[in-house]
Amino acid sequence: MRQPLRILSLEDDPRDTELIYGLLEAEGILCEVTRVDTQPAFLASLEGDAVDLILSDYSLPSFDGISALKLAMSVRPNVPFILVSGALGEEVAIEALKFGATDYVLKTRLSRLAPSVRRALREADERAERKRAEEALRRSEAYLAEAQTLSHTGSFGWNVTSGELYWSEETHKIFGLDRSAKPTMDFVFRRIHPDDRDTVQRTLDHAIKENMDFSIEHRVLMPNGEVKCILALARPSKPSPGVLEYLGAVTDITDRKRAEEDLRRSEAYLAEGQKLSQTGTWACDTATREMIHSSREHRHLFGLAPDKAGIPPFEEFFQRIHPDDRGPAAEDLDRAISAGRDVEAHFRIVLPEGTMRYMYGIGRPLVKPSGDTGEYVGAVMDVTATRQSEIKLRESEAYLAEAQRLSRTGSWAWSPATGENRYWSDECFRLLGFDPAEGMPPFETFVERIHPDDQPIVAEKLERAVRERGEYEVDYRIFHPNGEVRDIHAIGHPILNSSGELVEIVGTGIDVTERKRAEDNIRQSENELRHILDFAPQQVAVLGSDRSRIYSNRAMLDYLGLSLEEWQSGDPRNFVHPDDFERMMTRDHSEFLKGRPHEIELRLQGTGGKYRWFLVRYSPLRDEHGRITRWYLAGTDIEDRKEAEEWSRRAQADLAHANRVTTMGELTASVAHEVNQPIAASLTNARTCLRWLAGDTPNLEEAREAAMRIVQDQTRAAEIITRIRLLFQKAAPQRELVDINEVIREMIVLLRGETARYFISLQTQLTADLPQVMGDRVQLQQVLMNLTINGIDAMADLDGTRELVITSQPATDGYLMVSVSDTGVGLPPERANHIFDAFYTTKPHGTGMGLRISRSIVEFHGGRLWADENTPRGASFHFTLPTIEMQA
Amino acid sequence: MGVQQQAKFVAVVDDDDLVRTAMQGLLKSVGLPARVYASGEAFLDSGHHHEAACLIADIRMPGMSGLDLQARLNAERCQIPTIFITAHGDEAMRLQAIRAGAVEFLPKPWDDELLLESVRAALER
Repeated sequence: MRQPLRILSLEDDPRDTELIYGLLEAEGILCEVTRVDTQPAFLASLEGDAVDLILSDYSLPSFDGISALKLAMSVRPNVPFILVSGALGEEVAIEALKFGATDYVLKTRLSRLAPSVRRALREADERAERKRAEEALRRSEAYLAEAQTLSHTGSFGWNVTSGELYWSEETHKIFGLDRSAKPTMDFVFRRIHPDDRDTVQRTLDHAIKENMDFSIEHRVLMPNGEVKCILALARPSKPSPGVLEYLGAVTDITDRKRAEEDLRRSEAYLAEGQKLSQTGTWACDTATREMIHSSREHRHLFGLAPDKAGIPPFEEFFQRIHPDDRGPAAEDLDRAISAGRDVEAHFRIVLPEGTMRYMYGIGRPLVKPSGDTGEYVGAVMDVTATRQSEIKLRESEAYLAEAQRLSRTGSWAWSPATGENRYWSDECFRLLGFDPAEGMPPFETFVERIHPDDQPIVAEKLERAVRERGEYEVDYRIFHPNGEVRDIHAIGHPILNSSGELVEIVGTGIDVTERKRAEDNIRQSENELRHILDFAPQQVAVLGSDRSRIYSNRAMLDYLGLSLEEWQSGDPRNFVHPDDFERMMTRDHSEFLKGRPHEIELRLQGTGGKYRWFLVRYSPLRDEHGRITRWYLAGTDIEDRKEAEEWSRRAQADLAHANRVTTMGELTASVAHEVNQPIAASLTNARTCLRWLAGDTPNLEEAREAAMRIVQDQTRAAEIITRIRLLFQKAAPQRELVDINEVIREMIVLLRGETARYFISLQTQLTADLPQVMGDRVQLQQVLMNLTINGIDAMADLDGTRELVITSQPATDGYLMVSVSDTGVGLPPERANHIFDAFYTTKPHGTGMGLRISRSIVEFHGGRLWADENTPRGASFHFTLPTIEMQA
Repeated sequence: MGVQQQAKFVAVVDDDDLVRTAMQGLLKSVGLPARVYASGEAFLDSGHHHEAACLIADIRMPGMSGLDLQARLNAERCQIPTIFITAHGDEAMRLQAIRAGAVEFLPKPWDDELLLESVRAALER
């Protein structure tokens, strides 16, 4: 329902106002009239009351209609103002209209009032409506412009037919064209990035041809080199037939593109990061418990195909969790999601191929800016490697602890800054006698436990290590709570930082109580042994593996008249006989190299300058690897024995000589015969010679031959005599190179008479080119003679074959063997062992010394003499001799 | 001398070559041909023993002795007048030798004249 028309009436005559009111009422215009007749009241009403229409009298006692009009126009310009006057000139009326009056009605023609009011009101309404519309348009244009600016979107119209372009302000801005300039398609194409021009052209052509929408993303190259990304969208419209026009929008999507690119990149980084760190992320809807995000890596960690489209349900992930861990993990997660709390879990995953991986998962509710907690997000990290190295570390720590326990070695670290212990291993506690449960004691407490005698050295060594930033090594005793004293050997190493400052000392402590005790025992027994050795009458010395002189006992030092130091550093030439030194050195050298026990006889000079013979035995001491660590030398004074040997040798030589003389005595008849033979021959030859010379024609040729034979005879006789003389001679044993076959042949010459006497056939089987023997020719001949005579004697009283065979042949190991075999009575039964005994004889006139002496001679030459049975009868005597081949 | 024409020779058996050659030289100086042998076995093996007109042999030799040789020759009925020479004047052997047909038994050293006479006597038998 329309409200009553509120009329402000400027009228000095109330009756006129009544009249107007009545008129309008009668016309059906419901109204409320407020009558004022002064300017102040008029103004007050204009400013204070709601007014729809002003009716003003022209002439008022204190006021006039034009002034009122002006006032009303200034205060309420939109309220219609109708001038109602009794008399109004044409000019006044025009002036009033000019000043903004809506209409004028003469009081005389009040019938016009109602239509005038109606028209005024209608016009006022229209005016107000138009104003509102204008305002709205203006505002919406401003909004659009603002929106275009904010969204970097401009609008355009393109009349394809005329080629005209209409651009919004933002479109101008996007293409960088001044607002006042007229855009053209040429300009647009100049702005489009050269690489995109063809594409744009093709898209436009296609759209126009098909009368279709188009949507083009292209780049714009600005004069300053800036490149923008533009999205142009347009739709065809047909304003009139035959005209094609596109209306559309262009958006600067450079920032969005960049943001997209950045997002894509950061997503790639994230994915790569997840892959590298083996971390997967996931998210689920808290209400539905539906998995709404699972990163590629997340699915990969769970052994689910990462490339498969769609996110697998929660259940598939849970199936991968180790059965033992599945239940607790699911419960924890469920509770955390329900309660909106964070969650943290360690669990194992069993992959389809059976490998097990260790995982660490965390989750928390995702609070969106709106405060909504509809999502729960989480991350799962593969910690297998860490876990395995943790296990390994724990294992190696366990091994170390075990090793420390077994070797009774503790490790520790000490800080020079605080002067306090920084770390003690368990074994360190144990070996120092502290309880690990109570933690590391203050350094002072530890020091108090150290034996008071050792405290200063520990402090001093530690101070020095700190001062010199050097190694720390100390031995000390420590009291255990049970009163036991343990020996500790501690070693420390300084740890310096990059600027060379001492940061800490780390080291080990070893319980050396047992070792120390063992060492003490060894030292004690060594001392005892040394004491004993010093008392021993034998000379004892210890050499190193390099023959360095380490120790010599009192007996040795006293004999040499040297102090231990003089003996150790002195030249052995000072006390070893010059004739023995070279021999000692060469022999020592070879035997030392072979590492064999050996002995040598040499002369050592005693305090009086006199040399005495010593037998020095070398014996190597080897370690468990068989390496020689020491040589023990034991020297025995054999001067007396040497003298006895010398005497014995002389006695033996005498005896041998006596044997020879005796033997020769026995052979006198044979020897005489042997000498007789050449002499007889010589006489005959002499007479024959004379015969050839006598007579009338002396045969000089024959005489000369006979004389030659005489020479031969005499030579033979002289040889025999020489040999006999040699055998009778009492000479010191000589050493020379001897051909044993020659010795055999010479011997046979002497004994031929004897063999002939007993009709014995003497045969020799001598191996040619036997190596020579170093020995005494006469003594060897004596041996052969003794054996041959024994053989002859054995056969002398026997009938049958009498054969004596002498053989020489090489034997093993560079020896040669000579055998004398007879066909005689053979060895005395069951007495065979005794034939070499002194004074044992089977002959009525024997001395019983022949075989005994022969054996001595052979053994003196380094050989062996023995007897055995000959076949079919008789005895064989064999002796061996070392040849020069063996000695070489 | 008729014997010489018979081309017979004197055999000398001695194990000592000096003695053998000395004997041979002596016999040659008186124009008697001689053949020498180092042992009785060698003499027997030579096959010339049947042609020997006279034998001078040492009694003691290694292997076959002079007496053994004489016995072997007797066994073959090859009776050669034999002169034994020995260094050892074994009387027992001397008798045994004479019984076996020895013409002379001379000691060493021998007397050349006596030896030659004995040879001559043997050749003339």
